[in-house]
Amino acid sequence: MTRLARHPVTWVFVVLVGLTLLWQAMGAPVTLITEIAIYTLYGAGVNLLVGYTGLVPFGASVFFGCASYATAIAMLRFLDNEIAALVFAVAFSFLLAAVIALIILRRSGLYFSLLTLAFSQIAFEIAFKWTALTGGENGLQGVQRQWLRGDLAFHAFTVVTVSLGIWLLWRVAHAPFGRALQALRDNQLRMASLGYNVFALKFASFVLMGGVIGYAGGLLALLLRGAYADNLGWRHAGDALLMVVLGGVHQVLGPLFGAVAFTILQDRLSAITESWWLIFAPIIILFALLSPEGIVGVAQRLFGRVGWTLVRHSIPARPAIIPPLAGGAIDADPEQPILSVRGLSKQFGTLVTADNIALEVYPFRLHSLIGPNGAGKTTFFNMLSGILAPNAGSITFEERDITRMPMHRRARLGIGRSFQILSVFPNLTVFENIRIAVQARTRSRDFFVDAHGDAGQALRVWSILQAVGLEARGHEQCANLPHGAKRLLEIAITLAIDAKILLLDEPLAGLAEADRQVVGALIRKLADTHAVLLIEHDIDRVLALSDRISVLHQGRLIADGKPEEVAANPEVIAAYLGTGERNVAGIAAAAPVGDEAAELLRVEGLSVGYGGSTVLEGLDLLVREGQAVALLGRNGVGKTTLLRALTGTLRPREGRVVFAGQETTRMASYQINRAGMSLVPEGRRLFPNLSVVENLRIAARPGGISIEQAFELFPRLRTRQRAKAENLSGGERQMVAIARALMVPSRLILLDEPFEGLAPAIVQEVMAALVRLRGRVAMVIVEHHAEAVLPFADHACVLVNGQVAYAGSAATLAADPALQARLLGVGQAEAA
Amino acid sequence: MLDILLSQIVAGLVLGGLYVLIAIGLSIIFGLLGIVNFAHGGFFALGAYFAISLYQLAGWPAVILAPLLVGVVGMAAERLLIRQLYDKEPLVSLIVTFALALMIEALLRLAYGGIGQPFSAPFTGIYLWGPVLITKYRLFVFVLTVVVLLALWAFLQFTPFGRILRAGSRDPEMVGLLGIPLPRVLTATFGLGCAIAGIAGVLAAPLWTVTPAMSEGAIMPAFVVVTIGGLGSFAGAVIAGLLIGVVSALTIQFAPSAATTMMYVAMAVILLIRPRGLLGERWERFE
Repeated sequence: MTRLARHPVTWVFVVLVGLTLLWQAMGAPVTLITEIAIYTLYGAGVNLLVGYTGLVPFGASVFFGCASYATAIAMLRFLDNEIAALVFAVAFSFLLAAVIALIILRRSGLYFSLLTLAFSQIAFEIAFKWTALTGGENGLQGVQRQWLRGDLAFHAFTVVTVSLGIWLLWRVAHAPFGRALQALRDNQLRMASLGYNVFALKFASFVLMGGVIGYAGGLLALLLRGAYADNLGWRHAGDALLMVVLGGVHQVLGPLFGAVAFTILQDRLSAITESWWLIFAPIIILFALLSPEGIVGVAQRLFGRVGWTLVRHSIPARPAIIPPLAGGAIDADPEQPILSVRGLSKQFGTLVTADNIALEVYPFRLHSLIGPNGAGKTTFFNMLSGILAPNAGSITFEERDITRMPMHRRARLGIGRSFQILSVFPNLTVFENIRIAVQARTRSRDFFVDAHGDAGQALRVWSILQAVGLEARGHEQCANLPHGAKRLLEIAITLAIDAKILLLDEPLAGLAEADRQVVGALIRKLADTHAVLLIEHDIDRVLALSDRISVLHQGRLIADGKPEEVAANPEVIAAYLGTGERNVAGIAAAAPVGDEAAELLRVEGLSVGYGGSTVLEGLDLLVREGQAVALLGRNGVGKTTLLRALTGTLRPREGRVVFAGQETTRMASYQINRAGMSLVPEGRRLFPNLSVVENLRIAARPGGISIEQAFELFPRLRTRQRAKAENLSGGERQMVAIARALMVPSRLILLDEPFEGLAPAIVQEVMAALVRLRGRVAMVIVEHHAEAVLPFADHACVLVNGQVAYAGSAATLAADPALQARLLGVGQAEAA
Repeated sequence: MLDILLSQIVAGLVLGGLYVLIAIGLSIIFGLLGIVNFAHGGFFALGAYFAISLYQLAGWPAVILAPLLVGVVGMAAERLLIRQLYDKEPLVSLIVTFALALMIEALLRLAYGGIGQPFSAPFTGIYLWGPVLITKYRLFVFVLTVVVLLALWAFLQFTPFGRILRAGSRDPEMVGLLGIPLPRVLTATFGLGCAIAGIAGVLAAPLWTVTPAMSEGAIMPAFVVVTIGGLGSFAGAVIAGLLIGVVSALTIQFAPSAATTMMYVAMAVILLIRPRGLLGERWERFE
């Protein structure tokens, strides 16, 4: 009984019947309630796209309006009953939606919204001008309902079929298809990597929307006994969307309450004044800005149960005994490579990130790919999995050339991958995150069965959850998980598709030591039955676990072999440790800035995070005038996050930042810059459409260096001054970025990995410039190579787990390799 | 036949020039603020109405004052409303600017009534060059459009503010990190875009009927022009605007009922061939 009472269709039916009785009691015409019912279904159709699939069709009225014309024309010309006309309207709308989808679905975001609007305007023009067919300005009149003649009979028919329509959409939302749409809304790239055809899913949801709205449009024609161009016009294009937003986008009952409020308000307000939009528009604006989940959101806040209601909250019951994850070995010849790459090359402009890479991956082995930051490892994975197309070379998987194959087809062949940057489905439950990956394997196309009803599938999901230790959190929403748990989930999703080869991109990053052991063991076990290619920065673990290691450096494969061979390879040691190549002579000549200098930057108890996760916790930091500080730490430890918090692009949760005598914790980033703090950001962030000189001039303020001085610092830039930034090489970009930071009068410059991805000669040049700046301006240099910066830093800070684990003299740290190894995990020498 | 054709093409260029003016403002605002401003047509209509009202008070200087006033109203709208949208998802900005558009229209209806207002051109008469016939006022509109566009281009290309605008369209956060007060830049940019729409409104007043609904006749062509030309491309908007103007004028001559439809068909066709528009570049922010 309670299940029935909570069912959204019950709500729709009860609200519509209740309004009917109320209107009957007031003696008001019931047609207004018929209209509400029709608009409820119209809104629900739109919300299938907005709330479930994550696409915003601003001109969904094209289906509503065209279907009402189709119905009217059919009734007037060749069909004699309304049921046949409605069937015709739906079929016509399916067809129309399919045609429009083929044209516009390749675009997303705002383009998609505007294109749907354009189609509704085409329809409007045709309806308005093609008088012979549509009656032009006057519209079509005189549609006679054969069976449902009276207002009440038609009303009853509408309320019942609209309720049925909502029921159908509710079923679809819980079916494998509908569940896949919701995952698509959260993360398209991840869906493609799991083997889902993103275009096909969008296409199907668009066509289904067309059909549902088409039915509603047909009902409207029967209600009005005609069809009019009005509904296609610019002003009404967004009606259904407004209702959905008014009611609540991520609420199954949003369209109902939106339609009720919209229709009744419009009816009452327009009775009072002609300028009713003057009252109505502010209401819409206030709801859109203040209550993102509309009317339902307001009600939820009153009753204290805030959240989305697009699907039932339940997940299948956890079995008493979860069977351990059983993975049979894949069918492959251990002597034959499962994946081979030949001559693979990729360049972005002048930046070469893959240079003629040749590599073979064998099954039943753990093959690791290592290399310093910016070596091109992730680019290589992106080419293997199909995100990026290579400029040259070929990729063969199980003797098939897959070089140009789209991502989802590669996934279906058996290439699974995890992502370095967390790629999960934030708005789904933990259980559903995994289940959607398991579902990809079965490729169920079912539109009507409850996806959670498949007991075998659910059992497998629980097994996977248990394997990563998340079985107790199955019901939680992914977005609310702590960062470590999300990383575990990321790995579990990749495992769930049961690929033949797993491409794992830093699966251990951001995990605590205990979890690293669990996941490390899991990867090792998988490698015995599958093929695994692993990118990882945890060198100790890589050396201990791997059967084979390949080393990438600046897009080239510089070593390939057994762990102990690779670790002993001089070229690898040079690339990884960065020693030997860099000439640091003469650096020590400048007197180090000691503790006697005045305080410039003081950070106290700083806590920063993104969404639910905490990256920095209670961090303290001190920088003195003119001091060069090396900010060190492993990848993902929060160095860039700290810089973002300091420069005002990320709001700290707690703590304070005092810079040059004033508190800057809550200042806007431009104010912080004007106080004298400049950033040379990760990835340089030059303005690609501006020339070198313009990139410098935009920052120039009195007190900073002049363009001429910038060219003296980096003579190479003088010859490139007219070039657009997008055409510069990586090294030139870094020089412009540093010079740009100096164009403002800075007392402190923050440099985020200034040597990343640069050739040794350019590193020399950049380093020489930094050495010249030393003492004139304070610097915080973020690096994960201690050797690269310690020789010319006065002071060093090492971050571990979001806190400062070492703060002291750079020389002391430089002289203590054991301490470095402990804090930074650069213990290759010992391991080898 | 040829003379009709030529005259229609010239008329189309005049119309297209107005479309370019409206679309450029939309494009600048979209490029920097990331907002599709449905209310842009409303600011266009405001330009025409302000010109009518100010003309009664101040005479011809009204033609200059009206666009400035539209810019001020635009800046106020940015401060009060548009600013709230920057950190919200695109759906919210679509809904809010759409509601704002209908509110401006309702306000105009309340203040001036729904019927057309007369606004006669400052000079009458026609020029006749060979087969081409054009009214003096249309020629004036076209020349002024070209002047405004050239000035705007020079402004964007050579002034510090223009440099900030171009840089900010790619990476607004980085602009802020360089010490440039971004909130003020955004306010000024929205005002600038609205003021250009206001200029178009003033110029269009004697050509189109000044009614509250004239905003609708402006916003859809502007969207089409921006989409065809390519987001954020100045040259793209100019080419697309003139193209749409000429196409519209020619269809009016030969198949009057299909005139507006042709514009959308042209848009669909061009987007099928070039998904980012004629001169659109890959723009990470909007992919």
